[in-house]
Amino acid sequence: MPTNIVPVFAFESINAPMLFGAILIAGLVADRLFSALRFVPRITIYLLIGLLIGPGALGWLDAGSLATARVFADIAIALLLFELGRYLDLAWIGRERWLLLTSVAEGVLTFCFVAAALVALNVNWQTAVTGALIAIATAPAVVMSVVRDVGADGNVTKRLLAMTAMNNILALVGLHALLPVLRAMAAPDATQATSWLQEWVDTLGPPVVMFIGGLVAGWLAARLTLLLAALLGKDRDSHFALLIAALVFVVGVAHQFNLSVLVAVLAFAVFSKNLDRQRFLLEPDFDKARRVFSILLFVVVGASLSLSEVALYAPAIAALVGARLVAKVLATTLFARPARVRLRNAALLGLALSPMAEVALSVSTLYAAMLPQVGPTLLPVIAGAVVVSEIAGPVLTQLALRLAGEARGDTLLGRLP
Amino acid sequence: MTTLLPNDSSVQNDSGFERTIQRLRPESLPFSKSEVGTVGIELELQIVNRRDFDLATEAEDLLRLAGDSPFAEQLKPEITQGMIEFNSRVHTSTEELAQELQEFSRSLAHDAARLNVAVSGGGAHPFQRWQQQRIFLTERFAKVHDKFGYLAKQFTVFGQHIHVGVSSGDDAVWLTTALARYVPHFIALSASSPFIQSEDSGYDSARSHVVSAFPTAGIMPPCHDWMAFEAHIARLKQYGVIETIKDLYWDIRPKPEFGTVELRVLDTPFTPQTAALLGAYALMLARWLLDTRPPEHPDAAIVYSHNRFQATRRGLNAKLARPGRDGFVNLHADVVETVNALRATSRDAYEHAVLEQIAERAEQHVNGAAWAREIMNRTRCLNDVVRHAAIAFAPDAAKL
Repeated sequence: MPTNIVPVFAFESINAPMLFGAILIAGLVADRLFSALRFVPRITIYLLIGLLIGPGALGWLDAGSLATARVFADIAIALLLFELGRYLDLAWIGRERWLLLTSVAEGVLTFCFVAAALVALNVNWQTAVTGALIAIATAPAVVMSVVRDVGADGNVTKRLLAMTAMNNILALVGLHALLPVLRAMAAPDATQATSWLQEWVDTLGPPVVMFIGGLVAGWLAARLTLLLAALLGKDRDSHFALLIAALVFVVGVAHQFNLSVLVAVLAFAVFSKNLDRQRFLLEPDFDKARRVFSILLFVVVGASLSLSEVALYAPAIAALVGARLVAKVLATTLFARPARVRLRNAALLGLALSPMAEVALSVSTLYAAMLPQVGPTLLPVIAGAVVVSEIAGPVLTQLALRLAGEARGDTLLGRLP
Repeated sequence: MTTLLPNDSSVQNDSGFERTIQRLRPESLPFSKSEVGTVGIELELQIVNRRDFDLATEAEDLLRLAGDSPFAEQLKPEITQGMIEFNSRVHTSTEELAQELQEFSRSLAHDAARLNVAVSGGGAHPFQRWQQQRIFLTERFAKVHDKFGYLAKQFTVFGQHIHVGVSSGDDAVWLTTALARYVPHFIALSASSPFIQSEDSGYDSARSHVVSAFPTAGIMPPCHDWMAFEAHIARLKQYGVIETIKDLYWDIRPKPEFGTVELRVLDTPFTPQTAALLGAYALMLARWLLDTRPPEHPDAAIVYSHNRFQATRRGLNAKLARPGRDGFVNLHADVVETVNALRATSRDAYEHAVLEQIAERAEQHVNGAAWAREIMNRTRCLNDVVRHAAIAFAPDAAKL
């Protein structure tokens, strides 16, 4: 820990509710202090506060208290991811083929550009490929929070949310498929294994179980929720409670059986949206809950960020972030004309897709644990890219939505005294 | 009623008055005469999200997407971004009007589906919050917003306007007055805004009262001919009350640039078929009125506001005051009586069917408000009311 002028408070001894309250108050006070800065999103302020009070700076939040606060952060991610996943309307994707093509192009171009940039910087190919897959995903919690905070609505916003859901799915599928391949390639000689089947299970097992298990948990939760929603009738308060309960349960199940929380929650959201042909489930309004949990989430994320890697791996991080942004803007503008989206708005959509976080953080940790040869380079590069994207990403997303004219308050009334 | 334009004989015969009129008429208001027996309609439509069926904000994107459709030139923005306006072509055949509306609704619903929004009829969105509506930024709408403040956003209501062609300005003025007696018919038959700001208003057409809030709402003051009308408009302009006739939100107004009389009291019905049906009814009524020229009862203006209110409140169950008769007349019976008078004027099988349907709806008290309340009773959910409304607007469009 660096030498501090400010006295260091250890939060190790405080319990979870105290921590919960303290983080919330810190976030709210900071929000009030910096609310005059219209171009800085609320969540960036929470992140910066987290960074300030985290182990990297003042050290008021240490590793122990961060671990305690992680539960709240997981619930916050689940809430935001669920809301976002419900924007992935598969029937729309079927009707609007340009959106699907744009999304595929976004995934492919991001992968190719980032992989090429990292390889060009002599990063080993396994790390480059993994980093490129991680770079496909946009941060759902960041995007959803910014969209709600600025009250964005419109064509760019709808596309942003659907494409974020799709690029997360693409990245998660790709990463869970790549992991066994890399593990198999890195495995010791087959002859040393007890049996080929055992080796297969050992190599493929954990990532596949994590993914498929998450998918099944999400599907089951969706089926059960829809059934209960039909039984409860269309009562908004009951549906709110039902969804909170189902979400917390899904997160718990994923933790319990070591499944991917991201896959489980995203699957829950997408299945609950697209299997509900009779529209039993009322669209949730997590507004107030989201506000509380997003303060917790972003203060905790801020406190978890480490700036030390940024300087150390600056070229690789710059290459990843830069190549990723170029690829996303290129992909979204590629089909703008046939999709009848204004070119300017298409470019802004690419810009809005720039935040990167949840998939990156969770999957890079998983890779590091399972692949010793990738971990040492991958972790700092991804962590550094996340630092840059977490701080700059929300600003870009908010700016893009404002420039597209889709944020509330940018309408005529908002400009009037 | 306040009479802005003197119409009693003592003033009319005053030559000083004529001179005043000339002074107040720096420019005349040319009336482009049009063919009698023509009809065209304007529909203000709701653009709703497919996610929760709240009003969307995609008017501009939908206009761009519909730029490739055969109806591109007939679509216009409206005051807020969850609205879009359609102007039909001018028709002599009411059947062709119905066909056009049918094709248009299919085409627009198809384009809307590409944006993951849907299009719906209905006079008011049941649960939109006016505070959240966004002004569609054009010079005209910015002016309206500047002038009326929050009322501009509350103006996110949806009406059907029917234009009938007339051959002269004098006829336009005469028909504007004559149609006033039938305003309750059109309000009740089109009424489709029982829910407003998430509540059942208890009215069949809550929309009508949103329009009434504007200072230029109401009806045309008594005018005997086009010259008197021109003078009235000139005064309003001179005093800075209006800039153009468009600034008058009267229930019925002459539209000199089109050569029409515009009936503006209708809620946008839930289906294009009903919109066409009411367009046809208005045309047949206008034709009959111009042919037979029934005299207006001197007290007609006295009961106008009462009858109009009753129709918005009770729909086809309203009881109307009828000058010259004691007691009240049931609105539904008055519609049937009018339909019976029009039967001899129907020109083809389609018009005959129109009258049958109007009479049937009146007798069975069928309108959009009753339909929406039935959906609400069944589903207990206003989101579902909008979803069913979007399905009703274009049943064969993308599944909702």
